[in-house]
Amino acid sequence: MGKYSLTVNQETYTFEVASDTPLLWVLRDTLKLYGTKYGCGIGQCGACTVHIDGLPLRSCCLPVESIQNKSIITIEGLSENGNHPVQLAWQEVDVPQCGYCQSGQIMTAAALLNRIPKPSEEDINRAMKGNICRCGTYSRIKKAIRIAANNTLS
Amino acid sequence: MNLCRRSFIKVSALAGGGILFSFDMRDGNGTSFIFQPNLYIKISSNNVITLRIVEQELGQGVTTSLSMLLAEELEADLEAVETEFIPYNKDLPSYQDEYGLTTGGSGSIVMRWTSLRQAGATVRAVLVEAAARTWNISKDDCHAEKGLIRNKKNNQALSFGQLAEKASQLELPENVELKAPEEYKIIGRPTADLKNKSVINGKYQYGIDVEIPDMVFASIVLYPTKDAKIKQYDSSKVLGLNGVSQIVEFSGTPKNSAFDGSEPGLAVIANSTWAGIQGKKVLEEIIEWDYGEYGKKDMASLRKDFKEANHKGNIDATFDQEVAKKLTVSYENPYLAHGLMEPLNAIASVKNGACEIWAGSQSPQYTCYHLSKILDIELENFTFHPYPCGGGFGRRYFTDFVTQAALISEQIRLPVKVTWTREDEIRHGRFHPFRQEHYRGGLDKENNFVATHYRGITTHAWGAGVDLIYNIPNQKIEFTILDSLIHFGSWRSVGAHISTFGRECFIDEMAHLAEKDPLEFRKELLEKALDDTEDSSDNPDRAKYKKNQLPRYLKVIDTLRKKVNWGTELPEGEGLGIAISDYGYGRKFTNWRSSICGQVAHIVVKDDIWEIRKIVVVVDCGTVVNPSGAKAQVEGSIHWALSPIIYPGIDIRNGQVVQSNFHDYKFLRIDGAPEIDISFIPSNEQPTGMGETAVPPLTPAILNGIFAASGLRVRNIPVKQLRYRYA
Repeated sequence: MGKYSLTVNQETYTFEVASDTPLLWVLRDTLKLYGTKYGCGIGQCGACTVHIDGLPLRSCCLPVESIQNKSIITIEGLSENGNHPVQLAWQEVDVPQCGYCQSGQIMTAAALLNRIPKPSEEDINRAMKGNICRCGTYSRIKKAIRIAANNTLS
Repeated sequence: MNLCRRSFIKVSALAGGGILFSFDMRDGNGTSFIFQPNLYIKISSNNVITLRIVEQELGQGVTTSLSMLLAEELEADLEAVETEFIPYNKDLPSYQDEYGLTTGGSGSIVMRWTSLRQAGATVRAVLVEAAARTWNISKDDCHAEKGLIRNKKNNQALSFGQLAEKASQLELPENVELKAPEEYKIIGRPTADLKNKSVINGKYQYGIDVEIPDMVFASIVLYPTKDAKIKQYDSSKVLGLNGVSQIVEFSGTPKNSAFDGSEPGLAVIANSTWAGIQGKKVLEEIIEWDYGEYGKKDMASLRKDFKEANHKGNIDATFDQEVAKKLTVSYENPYLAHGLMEPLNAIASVKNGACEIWAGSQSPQYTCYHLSKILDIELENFTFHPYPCGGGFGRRYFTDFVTQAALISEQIRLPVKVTWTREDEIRHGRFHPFRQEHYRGGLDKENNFVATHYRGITTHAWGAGVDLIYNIPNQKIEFTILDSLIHFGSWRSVGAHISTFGRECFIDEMAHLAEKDPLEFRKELLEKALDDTEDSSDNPDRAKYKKNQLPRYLKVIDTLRKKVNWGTELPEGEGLGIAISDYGYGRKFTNWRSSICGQVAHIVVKDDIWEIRKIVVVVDCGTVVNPSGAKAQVEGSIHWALSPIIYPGIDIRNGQVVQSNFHDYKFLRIDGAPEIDISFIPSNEQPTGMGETAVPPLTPAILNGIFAASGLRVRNIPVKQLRYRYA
C-alpha cells in the first residue's frame, strides 16, 4: 500500500492503494471515473486508453507507482462538452453500436490526430490496430477519423 | 390484432404534472384479467417523453429504433424521447413465466412493430382530444407535430406536457389508424443512435460501471473441466493478500433448460476489483485439481469420436445406384468464443428472503425464474435492474454469471460485484458448437440435382438443424449429437451460421459438378421449388412459406447479380463467391417471412495470400426502420463473421480451453476490415429483424470466392491453406 497523487482531467487526487494497482483500476474503483473501460487487462484491446503527456497509453498496464504525479486525461476530460472534433465526427458518422470500446477508440484517435493531423489510411490502421471492436464499427471509425482530420484547425 | 382496447391501457396523472400511460401488451383472452403493464409512455409537464421498455440494449440500437416507432405515431420530437429499462419484478405481466420477453433472435422490432405504433397513435389521439377541448374546436382543426398540438386556424400551440393533465381525464379511443408508409417522417430516415452523446463523453453506464452501497468485490476461479474436483489449496496464501477478506466456494447448478446451468468455482472476496484479481491469480496458481474424465480429452479425441459416429451412419445403398455423378464432401465448424467487449459481470444482493440483481443481460426474467428455484426464494421477491450491455451476441442470454454472483452473495450475506476477467470470458464461454457436416449430392444423367444426403454431427443438442431450401426431390437428413467437451451456446446467428456455411458451399460444389454457374444453379432450383405445387398441396404453412419467402429469395439473387455484374470475366487470381440465407425465429408470427441476406465476396488470391476486394450485400428485411442502424448491423455482422474465417477457434487440451485472452484468441482488427457495399430491398412490409441476418452468408461467400479466384476448395474455417493479408 502507498499514498499516491495524480492529476486527472486537471483535478488533483490523493489516495492510498497497493503500489501495483494499474491506473485503470485507480480511475474506476478509487476515483469513480468509469468512462475508461476494462477489456482485457493485458494491453491487447485498447478499451482502457488514456492520455499521459499527450501519448495514448493503456492504463491497464500502468502501475500507479510508475506514473506518480503525472497528469492524465481520460475520456471524461477530452473536451468541455463533447465538442472535440473526434467526438463530433463520431456523432456525425453514427459510429457507436454497444459503445463499450468507444472511449478507447476516441482517445486513440484523438492522440493520432494530435501527432498526425492529416493521417493516411496506413497511419490510421497502424494507430488504431490496437483497439478492438466486436460490434464491427471499424469502417465508420475510419470515416469519422477522416472527417475529424478535415475539421481540425491545424 | 387490435391492442387498443381500453382495458389494456391505464392512464394516470403523475405527481408534479405529467401523465403516465401504461400498456399491457399481451393478447387478452377475455377471462379474468389482471392489468400488468410491460410498456410505459411517460409525458412530463416539461414535455419530455419517456419510453419504458423490457427490451435490452446490446448495441443493436433497439432503444433508438423503438423510440422511432413511438415518435412516428405519437408525433413526438425524437430528440425529446428518452428510454428507460423496466426492472424485472412482480409488477411485470406474466412475471412467473419462464421466459418473459427476452432480447435475442433479432426479434425486438418484429415484436413491437404494430403494438408500439398503436400505443403511440392512441396517446396522440387523446392529446389531440385534450387540445380540442381546451380551445373548444373540432379535433380535425388540431394538428400534432414534434411534441406540440397546433390549432390549424390560428397557429396557437400547446405542448404534450401542457396537455397531459387534461388528457389524463379523457376516455381513450377504441380504435386508431396508423400512418401509411408515404406519411412516415421518422421511420425510414437514417437516425444516429440516441446513446451516442453519452457514449462519446464516457458517461454511458454499463453493468460493469455500477456501484451500490456496502458492496464487496469478487473475482472467480471456475472449475477447469466439466467434471473437475478440488484436491486441495492453501487458502492462507490468498487470505494474506492486500484487500482480500475471504474465499467462498460455490456449487454448480444443473442445466435444465436452454440457457441455464452454471459451473462451480471459488470466489475471492476483496475490497476492490484489482485486489480480487490479484487474489484470483494466486489462487489459480496454488489450487491442485483432479481434472476428471474430461481432463483426458482434447480436440483430437473429439475428432476421433466424430469420425466413429460418422462411420456408424445409415448409408443408403440406392443413392449410389441411381445417380450418375456424385459428390461427397465434409465441412467443419470450430468451437468459437464470443469475445464481447464488456466482460461478464453482475452485482447480486441476497438477503432477508429477497434477491436483487444489477447486470446487463439478455434474459432478466428467465434468469430470475431459474434463480428462484436455486435459491428457494419466491419470484415475487426478485428485482433485476437491467443495464445496457457492452455486447450480447447470445452470450448474455445465459444465466451462469448472475447465478454465481447470487450464490456468493447468499453465502457471505453481503451485496457482491463479480467481475469476470477476459481470461474467464474466453475460457468459460457458452461456445459456438463444434459441428461437422457430411454431404453427399447426386446428379442424374441430365445433370439435374436429384439427391442429397446430409449427416450432421454436432455437440449442440438444441439448434441442431439445417434448412435445405433448394428442395431437392430426394433428401435425407440425419443428426448425431455427441457430448460436448466444453459448454455450448448461442453465438450470433446460432445454428444458421453453421448450417449456411455447409449448405452454400455444397450447393456451389454441386453447381460445379453440374458444370453450371453457381448463381444460375441456385436460381433455377428456387424457381423450381416455387413452381412445385405438389409439396405444399396439403401443408398450408409450406404454401405460405413458398408464397412469402421464395420470391424474395429470387429478388435478392437477381439484385445481387445486377449489382456485381455477375458473369463478367475477372482478372487472373480474382473471383466472386455467392451465398444466400435467411434468419428469423418468428416466421409464424410474421406470416412466414424472415429476413433474407445475399452476399457476393470479391476475392483476390495471389501466391498463398488471400484478401477481400469487396463484400456486396443485399438484404430484404421488410420495412427498414432506421437505415443507419440497419446498415450498422450488416457491417457489424460481417466483421463478426470474418474473425473465425481468419483466426483459429477454440483449442482444447486436457479438457480445458487452451487460449485465454486477445493475444492468443484473436479477433479482427481495423486494418483487416473489408469494404462493404450494402443495399436493402425497398419494402413496406412488417420488419423481420436485422441483428444477425448478415452473419451466415459471409463464410460460404468467401470460401466460394476463394475457389473462383484460385481453384482451391476450402472446407473449414479458419482458412488454413492460405494466409489472410491482414492476419
